[in-house]
Amino acid sequence: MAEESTDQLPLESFVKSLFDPLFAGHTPGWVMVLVGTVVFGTYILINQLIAPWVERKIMARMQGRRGPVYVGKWGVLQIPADLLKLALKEDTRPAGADKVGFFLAIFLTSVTSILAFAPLPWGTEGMIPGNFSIGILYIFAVFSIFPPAMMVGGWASNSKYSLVGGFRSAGQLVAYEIPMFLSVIGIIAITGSFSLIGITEHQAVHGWNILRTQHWLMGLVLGFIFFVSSVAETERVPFDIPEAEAELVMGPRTEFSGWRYALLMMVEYLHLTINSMLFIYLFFGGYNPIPWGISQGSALYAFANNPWVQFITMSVKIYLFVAIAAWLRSALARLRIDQLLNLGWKYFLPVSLGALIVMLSVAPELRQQLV
Amino acid sequence: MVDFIQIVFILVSLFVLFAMYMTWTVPKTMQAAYWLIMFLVGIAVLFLLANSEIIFAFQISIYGGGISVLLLFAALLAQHDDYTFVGDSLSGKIIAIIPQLIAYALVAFNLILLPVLALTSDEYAGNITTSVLGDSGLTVDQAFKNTADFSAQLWSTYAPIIPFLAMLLLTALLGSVKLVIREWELEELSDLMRDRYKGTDREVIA
Repeated sequence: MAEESTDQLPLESFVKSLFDPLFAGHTPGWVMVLVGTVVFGTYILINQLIAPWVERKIMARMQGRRGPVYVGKWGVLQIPADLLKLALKEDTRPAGADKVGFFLAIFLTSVTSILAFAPLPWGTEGMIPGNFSIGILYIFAVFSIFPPAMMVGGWASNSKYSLVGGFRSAGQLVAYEIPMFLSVIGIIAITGSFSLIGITEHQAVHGWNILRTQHWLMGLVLGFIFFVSSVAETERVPFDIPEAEAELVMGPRTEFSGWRYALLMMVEYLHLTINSMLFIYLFFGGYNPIPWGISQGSALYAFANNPWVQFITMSVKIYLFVAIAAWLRSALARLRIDQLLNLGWKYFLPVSLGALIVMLSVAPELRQQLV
Repeated sequence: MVDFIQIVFILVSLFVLFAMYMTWTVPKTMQAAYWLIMFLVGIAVLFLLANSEIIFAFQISIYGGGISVLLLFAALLAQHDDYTFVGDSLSGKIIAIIPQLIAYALVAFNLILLPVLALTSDEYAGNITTSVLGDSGLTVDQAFKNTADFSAQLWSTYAPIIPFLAMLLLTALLGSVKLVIREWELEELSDLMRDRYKGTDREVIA
């Protein structure tokens, strides 16, 4: 029997010790993939139940309230209780709704949100659900299904509020997807990789992209554009125009109730998590806890490469951005639709393009390649 | 020997054909649009199963996302979302369905030909490896691993299919132009819109 690798994670060795007797001493890869999917999937879904509670608590404190307190200790079970209530409600569909379209909208939005987690690493070896060579392109591709799905959902609901909300949602998503992608291209060119693992490992050596001075701090400008665009993509305050409740009730989600509504709300928080994670991988060093570059011989190297440290770093960073999203939600007022589209098309698009050109022209990495 | 991934490949191909059939036979434009999205997403999954991740990403982003949004906007803004293709009378229905079925059979034949060629040809035996997990250490020499290989295959082995697809796209383009052009009936507009249509909106606003 081969010696156990010292790089092996506690989780990996535990799973191997559990399944090795069943498979004559050698656990096949698909079992590891299955167990990994279940473990990471459960962790992500549990976080989807905690993140809304954290957000509600933060917003309540900022508004001088206490937030949820009744269900569980500090109200921590409020979201699972809400989920249970929604799941047990009668399943209704408006009269005249298009059956297939009504279902497809939920199916496409929820499935694509879950699929987007596939290439997101939580650490080095063993903490990677799927090492896609085109990780970042894959996520943008999967996200691009979202606008047509919301439009189909709005139309299929047979309601004017939903239809107008679907239009606004698609228009907003298209307007901010382009500056968001432009702000990513510079990072891809400098790191020379589409893989989120490659981008993160590059930052482990050279420091977090948002703080790097070699590119005249263009990482900071592109990072800001990416962050604001990602908030707009999640359709949350101050960019919640598609569901502006004073005008459109709940926008494209108006006619969805019961488990359908629960799934759509879950999708909103999944989007928040994925966009936060993308921002962390691209600009905030991913799972690296140290903001500056560390060489292999330094004392911090072993600490920064410990899988559990990386996993905890990632979780802490995600909750930091959930807290920032809650802060923005309670501190800012909603934009008007024309202000939102102007911001996307007239300001972010040219600024991100300009910052990208400056970044590419001063990047020492690209100059070395040319020489 | 057909493995698990190949079975998935064939199942997804069947779904693609089903979505294509639905696109052509559903009565409303919007229904046709969302079945078209399913069809395009299905094609993208076929690319992923054939280990062509880049083409998968572009297929989904451009066709599944971008073009679909344009189609939906066009259908809704031109107020053709309730437009029905099939006539009321029996003869009208037959006349409407027969060309659709013929076109469907032609495209289905071509689409089936492509995966069957890829899966059965001796040239590709042992070369095409399929994977849903991206870079899993499998080697793909002659398949669609990168755009250069893909274009080489496209313009050699599958070259006869290209003019056919081009004709189909041209027909679709002309059809969509015909769909969007609408003769406005003044009676169905509101008072405000009717006045604007006549060019007297200044008086209305004043």
